[in-house]
Amino acid sequence: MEIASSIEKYRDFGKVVSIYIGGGTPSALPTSLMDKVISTCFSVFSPSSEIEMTIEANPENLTFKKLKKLKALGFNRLSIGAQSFNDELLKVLGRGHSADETLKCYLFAREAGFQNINLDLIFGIPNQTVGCWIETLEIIAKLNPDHVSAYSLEVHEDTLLHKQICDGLFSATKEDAQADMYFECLKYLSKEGFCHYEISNFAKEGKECKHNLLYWKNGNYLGFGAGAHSHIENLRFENVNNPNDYIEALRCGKKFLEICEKLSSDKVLSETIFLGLRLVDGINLDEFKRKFDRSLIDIYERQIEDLKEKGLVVCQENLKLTEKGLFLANEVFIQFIPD
Amino acid sequence: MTDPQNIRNFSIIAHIDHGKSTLADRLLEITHTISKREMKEQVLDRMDLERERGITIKAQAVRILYKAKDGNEYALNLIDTPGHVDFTYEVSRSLAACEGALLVVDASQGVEAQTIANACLALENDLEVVPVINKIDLPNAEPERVKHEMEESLGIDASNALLVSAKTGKGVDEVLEGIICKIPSPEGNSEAPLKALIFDSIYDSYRGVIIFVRVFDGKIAPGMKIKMMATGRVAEVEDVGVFRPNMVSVSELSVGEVGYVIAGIKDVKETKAGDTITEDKRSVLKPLAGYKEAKPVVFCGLYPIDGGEYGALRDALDKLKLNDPSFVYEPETSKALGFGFRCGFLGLLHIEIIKERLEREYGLNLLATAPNVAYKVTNVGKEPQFISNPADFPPLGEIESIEEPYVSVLVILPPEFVGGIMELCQSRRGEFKDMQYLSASRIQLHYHLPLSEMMLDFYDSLKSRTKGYGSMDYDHIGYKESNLVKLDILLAGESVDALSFIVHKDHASFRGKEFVERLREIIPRQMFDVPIQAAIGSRIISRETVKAKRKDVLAKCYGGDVTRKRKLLEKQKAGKKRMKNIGKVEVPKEAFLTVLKVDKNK
Ligand SMILES: Nc1nc2c(ncn2[C@@H]2O[C@H](COP(=O)(O)OP(=O)(O)O)[C@@H](O)[C@H]2O)c(=O)[nH]1
Repeated sequence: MEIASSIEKYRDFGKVVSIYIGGGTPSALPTSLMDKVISTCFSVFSPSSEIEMTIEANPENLTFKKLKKLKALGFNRLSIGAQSFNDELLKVLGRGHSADETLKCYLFAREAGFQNINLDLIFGIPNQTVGCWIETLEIIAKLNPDHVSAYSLEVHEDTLLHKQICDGLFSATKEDAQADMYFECLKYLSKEGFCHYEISNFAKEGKECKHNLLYWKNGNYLGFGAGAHSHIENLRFENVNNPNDYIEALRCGKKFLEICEKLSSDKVLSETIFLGLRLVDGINLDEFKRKFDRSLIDIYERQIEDLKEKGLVVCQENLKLTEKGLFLANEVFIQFIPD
Repeated sequence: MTDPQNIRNFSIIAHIDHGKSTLADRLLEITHTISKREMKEQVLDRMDLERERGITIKAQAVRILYKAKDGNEYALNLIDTPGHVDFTYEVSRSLAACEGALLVVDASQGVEAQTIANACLALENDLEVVPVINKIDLPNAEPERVKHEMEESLGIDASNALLVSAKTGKGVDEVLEGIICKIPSPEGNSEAPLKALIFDSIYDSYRGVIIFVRVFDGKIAPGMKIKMMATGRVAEVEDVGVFRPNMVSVSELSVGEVGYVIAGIKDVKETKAGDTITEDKRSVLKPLAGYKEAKPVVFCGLYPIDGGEYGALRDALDKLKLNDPSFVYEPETSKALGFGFRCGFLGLLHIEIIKERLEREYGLNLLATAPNVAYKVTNVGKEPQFISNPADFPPLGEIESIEEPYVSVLVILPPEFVGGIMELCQSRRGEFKDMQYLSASRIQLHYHLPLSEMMLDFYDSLKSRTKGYGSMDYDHIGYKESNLVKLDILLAGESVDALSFIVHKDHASFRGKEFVERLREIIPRQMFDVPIQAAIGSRIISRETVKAKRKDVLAKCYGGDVTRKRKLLEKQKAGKKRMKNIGKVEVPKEAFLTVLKVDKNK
């Protein structure tokens, strides 16, 4: 199989710069098993000296003891799904933790020696006002984490929340309020010394998430586990989604890749652009040219002119979003989607 | 030839859902005209659209052979009629081919507006009306009340109405006997020059036009030279036959018979419903009475969303027209929409049918402007002219008078809703004519309304204000002078011709305001503020603004999401393509139809 051999090919492909254990609640895994995962990893891939090792965790299942063990396993970055510091809103989101638990977890993590902690936040939660959001930002300022991811909530159809909103249980936040919250977020966090480096991400100096930067630069990565995604050059693939099937497939040496897409060069281009433009610094034109052997400006002259005129992008050494463009990024991205 | 004594020509008329099709199926089944198995495959083998909407658009005819209790074998010709007021003229032509009609009324619902409208058409055509009360199997059947309503509303004797359940088959034999006893046999002279009525025609790509005829005098056989009297077209008959229900050739169609004629004609325009066929050599002097040209009464613009599909649209219209002479079209240009066609139709349903067929069968993506009527406009010192596009209205100062078409509307409803419906009619500039109790639970209301007002979702409003218990029917009654003005709509400061509409002066200000508010809701936020204004001449009467879009960004995007995010972006991009760009403003198709939605009381 083409893909299997391509994995083989990448087996000794440079050094690993990041390991990210996420999705679901990996912190629930017993430490001994986690140890096994990590050591297997290093038996196949060799780590770079600056490796970033992140683990995602929900506040409710982290104890001080557990945190210390994780630290001892080599994890040097912790990402906590805080979401909000308002208990009412946490309930709206259907989360199992309270604001207090998040605080405790954060303090334990510091105590356990984590020097790179991210807090995930959500704004635009039904019933949330701009005032509530600012209160959450104030708590962030006090905690002073190294990294913040602030996402505006997308309510998808067929979710419980969507139904609850339709039933009038909660009132959805309007586009204008969401825009105000995002604006407050940019203003507040930069005042607190965070650097805004991606549409939804903020970091203290040098604490940008290496792992996610790799995604936005459309780099290569391998995903392990059920439903995990990988990307190698122009191939995207996804492991079997159902965990039992995945395990079964591995045991019997059957096919464990479910979806594989070979991207056309058009798609590679458009993905590189809409991912790259998520970064506040945008896409470096020289780098682009080196990678694709063509100039970005030549390929998209009409679109870029149009977007410049609308005040959504600027283009010097880098093509990047303006502040207005950050709010209306989709308008920009779709210009680079092939027909 | 069949002895006219043993022929009966009849239709079934009914309000929608009262069981016309079910009864027809049952008649075909018990006479073995068609087996149960074939029933599904053939009888229902109509256009998809008809099946989905449960209404017949084209007339159909079937010959049923029935051995009656008197021992004779009869040929019963069942002529099915279109089931919607848009096609009233065709109904009337189909009825003209018959001597009698079964008037089917639902035993639990009672008399409805189309019951009355159709029965009146039958009576006007001097048909024997045979009352049939259907669905007597229902627990809430009230045949006595229904008889009473039929007598009150139609002045017919319903005491011997046949009681039937088309569903269980009960009473269906009596229906067949009733047809023979009550409906007169056709009269006519088989030696006289040919006189046959065209009650429908369809275009078949293999055989050309198939004409549905009823012979009144003389006979028609292959080889004969025939002439369509209204169009003057002469043709040689290739084949004649009857519907069993498949087409079966016969040697001739004689007095009283119903069947088809094929004569090498390629365009249904030449074989119009209502026209009389005669012999070329031995022409009758007077055609059968009642021929009218089915004239379009409502108009709308049809534009391809993608200007490149203009040619494809024209070809598709040409093709559809082959089978439907009652709709007309001519090229027009809109400043806002580009190249398209102004099309004329028999009614709103007719518009929908044509538009849907264009989209479905020809794969076109179309934008329809709001339908409007044709106004009779007289400029100072000039002859009156008909204007079917609001954009073509002359400036206010040049107009001396404007007339608009009126309809006579019949509404049947339970008494508790009368107040609400009178209010609705009043708000639509209706003139009250009269009101009559048909029974303790049903009232008949009669109004005259401008047709344009009736097009403003009058039917939906009626349905919702009567909780579904009201029914209506209408008839065109000609033109009347009205105090009308043109309302222009401006988007981002530019007047959009395709959105302008005609309205009574007294309603101009609130209709303008409502429309502008609706447009504000329906036009998505753009990259900049979009002011929407309504104006009469140069006077702005209402204004709203679609505020610039402030936020449109996917929250997060990591490794696993990329494919899904790309798909979302692709979808968003495709959504834009379905909008029409007017200047810099992206306008969804529905915006053009929102002018029709005026009743907030729903
Ligand atoms: N209970 C009952 N239902 C019937 C009877 N006749 C027709 N129906 C039902 O009434 C509905 C409308 O019948 P249909 O023949 O389509 O009405 P049309 O619109 O007049 O052609 C269908 O669901 C039929 O099954 C009947 O005698 N008894």
